[in-house]
Amino acid sequence: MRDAIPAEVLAEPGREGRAAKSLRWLGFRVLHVGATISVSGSRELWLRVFGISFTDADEGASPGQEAGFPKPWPEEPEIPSELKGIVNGVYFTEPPEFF
Amino acid sequence: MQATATERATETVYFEAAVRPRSDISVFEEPSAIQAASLDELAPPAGRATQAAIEFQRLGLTIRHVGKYSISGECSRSLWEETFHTRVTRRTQNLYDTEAGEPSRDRAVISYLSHAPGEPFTIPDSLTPLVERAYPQPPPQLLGAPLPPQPSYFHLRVPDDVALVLRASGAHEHGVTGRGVLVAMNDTGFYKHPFYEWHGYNYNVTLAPDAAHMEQDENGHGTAEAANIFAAARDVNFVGVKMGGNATLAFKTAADLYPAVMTNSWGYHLPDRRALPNFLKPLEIAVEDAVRDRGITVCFSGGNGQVAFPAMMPEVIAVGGVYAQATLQGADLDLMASDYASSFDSLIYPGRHVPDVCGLVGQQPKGIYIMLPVQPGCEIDAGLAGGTFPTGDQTTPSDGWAVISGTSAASPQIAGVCALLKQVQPGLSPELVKAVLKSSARDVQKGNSHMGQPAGPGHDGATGAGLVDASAACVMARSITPRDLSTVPPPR
Repeated sequence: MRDAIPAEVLAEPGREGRAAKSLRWLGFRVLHVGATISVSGSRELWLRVFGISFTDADEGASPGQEAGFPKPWPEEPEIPSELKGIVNGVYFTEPPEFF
Repeated sequence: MQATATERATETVYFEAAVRPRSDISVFEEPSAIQAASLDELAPPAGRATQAAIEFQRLGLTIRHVGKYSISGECSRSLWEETFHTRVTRRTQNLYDTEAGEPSRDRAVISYLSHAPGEPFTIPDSLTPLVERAYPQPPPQLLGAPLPPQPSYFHLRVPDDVALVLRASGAHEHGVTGRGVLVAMNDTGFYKHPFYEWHGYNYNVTLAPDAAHMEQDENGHGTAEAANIFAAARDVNFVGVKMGGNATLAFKTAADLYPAVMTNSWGYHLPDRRALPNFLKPLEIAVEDAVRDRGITVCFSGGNGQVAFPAMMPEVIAVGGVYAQATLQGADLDLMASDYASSFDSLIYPGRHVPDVCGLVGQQPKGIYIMLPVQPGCEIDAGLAGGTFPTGDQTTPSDGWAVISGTSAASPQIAGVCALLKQVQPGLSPELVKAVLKSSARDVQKGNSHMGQPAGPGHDGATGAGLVDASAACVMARSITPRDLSTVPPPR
């Protein structure tokens, strides 16, 4: 699970189901389908599908974990042809601060 | 190698060596050491402990502490076995106590090296006059107590003090306790602390899809802050969603339960930003969806010096901090804006000011103010322990209690009050809940926020509408008739 990198995917309005299905087909784990789609995938998968590579940032990935969280490059990837027309954008989450 | 209780090196023996007493009496002759003789009789002669420590070091063992009666140290498994002509074996145990001592797969398990039964153990000749015995030490089981310790400085306790100061106690006496109202919270985890069970609270935990270890809260934050909800609304149905790596996913998981109220003691610091970073737009959409489409009243902490998002979203209730002292000022307690809590105008959402309303928050430097339950030995428990108020909370590192606050505490307090309002008037929209809280709040007229904004008569920058008044809010909510906007007659 630690190697899986999470992201939120913004689908074209009304095409969330189709987008989730396509992402699954491409190998992503779809964790939640709502107003946005929560997915996770390995570094290799992100690189292969979206051309994204990652470096480790310093902040904790989640409370209680000291490992850094993966910082994507580019931050907002090109949408690959298989997802064009159904996916609008992919956004990588960062850990929040607890107040 | 130094490590926390949960980070014990796997091939290291941690030991205690009993220094040989002055007399012939052995501390091991009775069921407990102090039954054998008085402490004075058991005391080794001056200098013997130090001599023993030096000899241990000469043999290659690492000494961590030299006490009057025993020496603490550690060494590798092979050195231990070679020095004492013995053998150790690996054992495992639950790190935290389990009900009736039963093992649980959801609990942390720790392994350690222990003396192998039946194996010989011989103290080297050079140590025999100095040391009576030496034992590998198993890790302790961390226990939480339902009652907190009582440090000597001024602080509040849950539930009673917080309920009283929020004026929730009066509502409770009239049967308004949040009964039947579901409140959800996303946070670091929700340990089943005895505090919750002993109070009979309806305290439930679930996992975000990317989280693990449901009954652990390695950080302690969620376990602590949830107690603030019950202080304000003792009979709510509570569900804590343990967050994994994706905060947005945790938020959506909680929203999928359609709670009446959600509280979030976290956020992102966005100073000087005029536009929301794209990576936060999914969270913005999720919050908007929860409030607008699902009718969930969503509270967010306003930050402890941070310019906090999503607290700055106009749809949510942004919660700030007021420090209540024990003395009276007129008819109310002596109230002042907390200099630990944020206040700011959002540049991303023009016209939006944070906070809307306040809960109880301590003062700088660390906001040490409310005694809250945490998982024993967690990051917060250990991190605040040891020091002296106001930089340390004067509790011990694994007692399962910590004195903390921040707007992390204030948001769940307000969420609890929201639950009272939803019990009184289930049809209240999130906008109406916010309006009622603001309209019934207690004016706070002195002090400055973390950002230096002053409190003053009426609504002000530091505290917004002021400190929540649960009883007044309930009275106001009772007299409101929620209507669909289409039924409102046109203005004359």
